[in-house]
Amino acid sequence: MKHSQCARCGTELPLGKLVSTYQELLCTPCANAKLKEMGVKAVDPRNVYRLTDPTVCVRCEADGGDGEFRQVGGMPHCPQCIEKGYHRPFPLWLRAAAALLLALTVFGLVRAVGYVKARLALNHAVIALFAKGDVDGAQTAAMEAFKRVPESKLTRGFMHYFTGLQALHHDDDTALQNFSSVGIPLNEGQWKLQFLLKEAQLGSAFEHKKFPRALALSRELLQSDPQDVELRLGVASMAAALYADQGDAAAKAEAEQTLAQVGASIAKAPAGEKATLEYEIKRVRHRLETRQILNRKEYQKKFGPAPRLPQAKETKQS
Amino acid sequence: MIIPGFLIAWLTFPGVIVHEAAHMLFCRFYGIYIHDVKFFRFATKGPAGYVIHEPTDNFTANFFITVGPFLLNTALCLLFCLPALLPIHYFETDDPFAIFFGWLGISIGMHAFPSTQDARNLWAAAQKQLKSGKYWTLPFFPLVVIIYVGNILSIFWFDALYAAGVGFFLPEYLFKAVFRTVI
Repeated sequence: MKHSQCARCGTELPLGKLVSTYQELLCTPCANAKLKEMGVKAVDPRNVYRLTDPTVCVRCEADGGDGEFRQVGGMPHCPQCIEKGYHRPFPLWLRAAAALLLALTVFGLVRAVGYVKARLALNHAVIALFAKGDVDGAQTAAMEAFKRVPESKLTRGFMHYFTGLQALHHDDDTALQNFSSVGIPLNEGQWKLQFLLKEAQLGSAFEHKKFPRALALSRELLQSDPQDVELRLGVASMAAALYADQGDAAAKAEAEQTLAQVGASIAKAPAGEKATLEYEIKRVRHRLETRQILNRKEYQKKFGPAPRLPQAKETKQS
Repeated sequence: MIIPGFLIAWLTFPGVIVHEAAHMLFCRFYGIYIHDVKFFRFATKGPAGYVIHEPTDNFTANFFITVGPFLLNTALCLLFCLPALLPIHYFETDDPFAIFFGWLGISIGMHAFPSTQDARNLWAAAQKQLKSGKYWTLPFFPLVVIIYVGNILSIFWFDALYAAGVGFFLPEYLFKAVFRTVI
């Protein structure tokens, strides 16, 4: 440690305790007195600054005796502090937090696999339906997604959607309940939820023998796509059911007229669909002639199975 | 909505810590003396964190010390948002674990951009190199401008948008590309 004297009072002090005050080396009391005499209000660090002892470390105040320490950034540092400065360790709390977060992240990524599988299952459901017409496969995949992430409105909504679709496909009564429970916004152009809901309502009305309501719904469905032969057949079927139940002559006429329109359209249909449509026309005619209201399953039991459609169609043919 | 900067720093303090840690990491890597480090402080004025290191003429060191936070914060934002991506962003659940990691990732991402002080340091370093005839440093000047602009745009939540882009939208895009999902 180096020493020097105050230029005013002569006190010998360590160099680090002296203040250079307008180029005069002074102790702190003398420096304050001088500044007061000069009337200095704001201290300019270029004119007033504490001296740095080159033999004392600025960080740990280690005394190097007569030997001067190496300067880093213009300040003397002892070898130990230099080492610490160049190889400053990250604090323990930071390292511990980093390790903990890393462990939690690994856990989170492993956990995320379940979510990935759920999303892929949903994707599989969509592809099964739109690319392959596999309603049952789509429902199974959607159910898998729901079981993996049951707390999500998305998986719940799609589960109800695909289950409703499956119910509609198999003439199951639960279609309406499922479609009503979807609860997520779906693009109508792609998902046709409102259309399917109406189909399910039609099916429910038919099951509860509310034939006027069923006929009204079938007409609404036809309005959404007047070129659709199956929807037109649906109108004929409901009109025939109303006639069969209540003897409504106007309904019979409407059924006959609509069947004639369907018959005219059949010629343009592909071969596979043609056979199915002819089968359905026969079923509606049977209803008109016998006034027996047989649903699809009952009719198939009596007269044999319907030809399989080339791609699953979700129109309820009751 | 303008929220005081110090409040945002308090709410996203992990990002400040990682930002300073990144500076420190590259100082250590390039053997630059570190005088002082404050990873985080609850201050209403001045920086929420800082690293004071010795100046260096090594431009590469200067560059990486400056953009270190951009690299490390971006990488960690992406990593920590991954466990949150599907539960929060896709399935919209209230999973606390995912919410924690979502907050952590976004907080870190929001502090990816170097500060204006960092930009000033890089500008000064590039200027020095240019004066000594090293013209390859010219492209770094527009980079400094980008850093400044990024900091100004943080008033309009650019930092949050960046974090959301890195943490959620980029992984979502990659997920769809890798798994070829249609939904």
